Amino acid sequence: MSLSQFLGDLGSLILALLRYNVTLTLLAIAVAFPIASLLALGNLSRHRLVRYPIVAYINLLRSSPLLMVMFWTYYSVPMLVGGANIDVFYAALLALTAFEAAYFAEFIRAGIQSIHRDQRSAALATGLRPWQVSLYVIWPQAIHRMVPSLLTQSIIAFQDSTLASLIGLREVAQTTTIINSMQVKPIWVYSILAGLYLALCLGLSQCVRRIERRTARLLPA
Amino acid sequence: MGYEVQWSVLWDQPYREWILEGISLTIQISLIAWILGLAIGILVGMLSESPRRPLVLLSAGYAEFFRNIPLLVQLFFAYFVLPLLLPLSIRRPLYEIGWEWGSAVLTLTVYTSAKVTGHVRSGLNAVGKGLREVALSTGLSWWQMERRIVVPLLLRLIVPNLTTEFLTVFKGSSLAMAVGVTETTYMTQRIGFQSFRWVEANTVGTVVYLLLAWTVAILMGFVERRTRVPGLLHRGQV
Repeated sequence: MSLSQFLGDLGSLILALLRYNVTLTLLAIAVAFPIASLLALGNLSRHRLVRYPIVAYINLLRSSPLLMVMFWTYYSVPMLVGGANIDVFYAALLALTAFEAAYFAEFIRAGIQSIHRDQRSAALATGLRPWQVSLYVIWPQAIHRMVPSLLTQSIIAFQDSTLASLIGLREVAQTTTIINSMQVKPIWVYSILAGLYLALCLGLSQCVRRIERRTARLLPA
Repeated sequence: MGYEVQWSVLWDQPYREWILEGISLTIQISLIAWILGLAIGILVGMLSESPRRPLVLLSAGYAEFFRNIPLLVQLFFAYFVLPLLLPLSIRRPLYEIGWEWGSAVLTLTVYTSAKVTGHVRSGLNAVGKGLREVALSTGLSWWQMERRIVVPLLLRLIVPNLTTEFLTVFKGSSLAMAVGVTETTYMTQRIGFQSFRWVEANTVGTVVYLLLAWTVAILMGFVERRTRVPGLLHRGQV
């Protein structure tokens, strides 16, 4: 296998990765985070009418495989709303967003709950209003606590974005299969694909670990 | 123009048959992968207790390696590439027993074991130095300490994590459809394409995974209560 072929294959995989997987993941995270924050707040609410539907949503999404969710957004929901067609990219984006929002919501809730109750009482005693306590005392600390787990989950979302190939998005895993079907060199192309992901995710998870250590130093449990 | 839901479609043959076959394959693949993955994961995780540095590195590297490659990519690798690396005399029987099934079980096993390895390693950390020193100072040998003190405590500590992995393996088994294993997700898609009753098929598929998750949660909840270490924080109490 010549160097130019290697670079050619690597190039087309990186292109597909950037154009679909990275875009998909970043958009999904960006949309899922605010939704998840609202879900987490609702989940901590005293009112059952708010809490129960949210708990149901989170549990439903967390028990379903992402592929099932993608089938919903790509095939079933468009049928339910009257046979409309949805672009496969947006179907994948919708599925990944809905899926990650449920996971994020649990991490955010855990982050908020990890802040000790006494802090709220102490802050209230200084004369801050309840919303000020939440916004200025609880939330900044909670955000620090939850960042590592949110980032780790984002790396998983980046890995999961390959599933979009199974509903027909021409992302990196499908691009690999296409290259292989034209040139028949499975060992070669699948190794490049695995190596590419390994390098990226290993690097990202090392960064997360560094952030985690720094958080642990700044905010001892 | 609305969509008229007709649940009875699912009861017609061959769809009923397909659904049942899908469910049984999902359970079969997941159970095998979980049990094997558990065993391998605990063994590889325990390597990090070894006094030999290469073994410790192997244990850490194993977990990192398989956690950082998407499951689907691993599956493609196992299905398309692995047989080519084996001699023909091994390759032929592999295809005969159905390498779709085999590669799915292998991939899920390895993936689960890598996750379990990670839990075992952090569990070993949680057992702590103090306890080991106390155990050794009572006159136990290193091996006795590992076998009678560290491992039993470790296994109890990581039960909640094992529950999570048990749930994950069921969801992960849905990827097996990518190489043509006719499990629940594959059958969902097949019914969808064949009958265009996507909503019904999708609902059934989702409900199957929900029921499986509930079953696992209930069973493992029982195990968690039985194996809880007194004096430690429990799930839902943190």
